[in-house]
Formats: sequence, structure tokens, C-alpha cells
Amino acid sequence: MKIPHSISPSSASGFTLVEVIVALGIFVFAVTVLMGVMPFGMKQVQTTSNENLAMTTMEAIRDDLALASTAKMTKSLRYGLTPPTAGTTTPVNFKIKDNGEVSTAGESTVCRIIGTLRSPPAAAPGPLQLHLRATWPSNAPAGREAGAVELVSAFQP
Amino acid sequence: MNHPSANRSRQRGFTLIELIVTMAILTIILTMALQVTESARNSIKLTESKSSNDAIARKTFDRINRDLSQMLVRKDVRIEFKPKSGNDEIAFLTQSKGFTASGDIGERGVSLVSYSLQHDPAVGEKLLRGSRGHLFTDTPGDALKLDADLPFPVIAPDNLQLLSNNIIRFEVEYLIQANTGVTLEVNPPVTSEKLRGLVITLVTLDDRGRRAIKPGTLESLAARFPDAVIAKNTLTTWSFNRDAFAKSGIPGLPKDVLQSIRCYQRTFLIP
Repeated sequence: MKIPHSISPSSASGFTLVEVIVALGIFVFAVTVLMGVMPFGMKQVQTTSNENLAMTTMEAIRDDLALASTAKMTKSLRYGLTPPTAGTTTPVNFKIKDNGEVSTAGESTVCRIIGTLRSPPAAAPGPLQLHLRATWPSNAPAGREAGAVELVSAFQP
Repeated sequence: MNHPSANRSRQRGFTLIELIVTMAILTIILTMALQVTESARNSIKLTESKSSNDAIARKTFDRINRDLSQMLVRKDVRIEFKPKSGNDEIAFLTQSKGFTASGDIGERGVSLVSYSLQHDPAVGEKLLRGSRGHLFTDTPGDALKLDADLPFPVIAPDNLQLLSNNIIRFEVEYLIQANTGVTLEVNPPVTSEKLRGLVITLVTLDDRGRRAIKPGTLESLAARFPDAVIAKNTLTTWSFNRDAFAKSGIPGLPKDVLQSIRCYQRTFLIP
């Protein structure tokens, strides 16, 4: 087969397999970088959404405890917590589902809320002090959480 | 330049086998990339609708909270909370200034504020906030006299403001002071004196869902969220129903649209 003179040698020679594979490699690299950026954006959205859920739920727990303490109830209405008597502390430990509810039957959860409601001793009366901390993911061991928000509040019994 | 001596393999381009191998690799990579993109898109959609619904609920709750925190608490002032089958209506007096344009009324020290969810066959549900100046000597139909049998106060369309188009269910429960503590009731007290707070539960539907669901279908959808029952948490019931139909689907509605429906609850303590 004779190659016509009008075709320049560079266009006639085509790419070798090595060249194509190198090009493909660059393409794959570019795609991987793009894919790598996407989860970052999604993680931001996820964090905002978790913070929102955690904050709303902690506010609900705070209001529930405030109502139970001021109305001198033995058990709070929504979360079933017992307000502390003078000098004692009520622990809070909940796993919260995606819709803001407390998980009771081991459903999948978004965050965990741990905290205390402390009542000052009768000798030195003062407001009840509430400290709540929400962390996610809910099954992460201490110190290995992806994010956390806290709520500190005080109210007169 | 001509290279008659250039070797053949450099001049012939690739063979069919090489091309097929390249294309096969490319196809595999693209398929994998597409799958990742698809699942990423789905999860972005899901999180997006979650955060837009969160924003709708927060905005509405914050507006209600501003009014409730200024509620006029007196035992001679009737509050009008209307439990109904379907969406509830509430009206109460607040300590904020009110303005009325009709008649000879101008500025007043107290205003009557109402929240109601109305069904508009053309648009769907509309959450309306009413607000007008209130005078205690107003005509009985309008005034909040201590008579529970009086009709719900009339609020002229001029005094109504559209709060949200994205709420399809509005349910109110009442925290009432009893002898043994506070109980959560479905029926309201007559005056605000014993009222300790309100628990409001909402179902929201973001704009994407609204575009996809017709107002008629919306009504049957809202019916899946039953009225509050005593000793049962409304949010638990509603979330359960919502999760059930989001999983199994509703005939005639795309499944991903059902993800844009969410339930929220907030407790408002009255200071």
C-alpha cells in the first residue's frame, strides 16, 4: 500500500495504544478529582442539616424540661425526663432519628444527645443548669465524631 | 516532509482490537461514573428537599413564636383556639400594636392575631396570619368575650397576610395546667390563664413537591395525617404515616416527590 504524498506523516501515523492509555489516564484522573469535590459539597449540606436537627431537638428538650421543672411535674411530657430535686442531676442520653424523634427500637439515627440538668443544692438555691451536647454520627465513639453542637441554658424552677 | 522509511506500525493508526479495547474501558469507566453521579444526584435532591422543608418549618414556627411570646395572659380574656377535624385555627390577643383601616379605627394597643390554614381549590393550602387592632368594646361577634360558644372572630381579608404556601397540615395541642402538673390536651381552655403552652405540628411540602402535586391530590394527601388524639404524640403518628407512604409510594405520584413532604413539631411555652 502506498501512502499518498498529500497526507502529512503526523496525521497518517495515528496514536499508539500507549498514547491513548495515557490520555485515558488523564481523563480518569480529571473525573476522579471532580467526583472527589462532589462529596465535599454534599458533606456541607449534610452538616447543616444535622446541625439544624440537633439544635431543634435540643431546644425541644430544653422547653420540655423547663415546663416540667416550673410546673413541678414528676415526669416531663414529651421526653419522659424527671426534673432533678435539689442537689441532684438528671442525665439526658438520647439517640435522635431523622425526624427529630427519640429512637426506642434501634432504628437508624442521625445524632446522639447527651447532657445533664443540674439542680443546685438546697443550701445554695439558684437556677437549674442545663447542658446538652449533640454529636453525629450517633454511633461514633467519643472523640471520633464528625460534628457537634451544644446548648447551655438555665431556668428558675 | 516525507518519511518513506518510517516504519509501518507508526503509520497505520490503531487496529480494530485496540480501538475496541479502548472503547470498552471507556464505557466501563463512564458507566461507573454515571452510577455515582446518579446516586449523588438522588442524595442531593433528598438533602435539598430536607433543608428547604426545614427552612419552611423554622420560618413558620419563628413567626408564630414571636406572636405567642407577646400573648396577653389574663383570666378575663378569652382565647380562641378552634380544634376542628382537619386543620385547626387559633386566635389570641397580643400586646403588640394593631392597626385597622376600616371604620374610624386607627392604632390600638392590643391586636388580635390569628393563624389558619385555608384551602384554595386553585392554589392548594395557604397558611394565613390575621392581625388587626382590637378594642374590648368591639361588637360581640368580633370581641373575645368570655363565651366559648361565640363564633371564631371574623378577620377581614384586608387583615390577612399569606405566610406560606408550603404547609398542608396545621394541628394544635394545648399544654394546660392541671392540679397534678401540666397535661397535653386536644381541646383548648377558655382563657389563657391556665394555658402553659402550645404544641404545633406541621406537614410541609417544598416548592418542588407543590409543582408536582395537584391541589386536589393535596387534599387526599393531607387526610393521611389524622387529627391529634389524646395521649398519643402527633409527630410520631404523622412521621410513621409519612415514612410508610414514602416507602411504599402512592399511585399516581412520583416516588421522589413524596420525599419533599416532611413533618415538624415545636412546643411554644407561654411566658
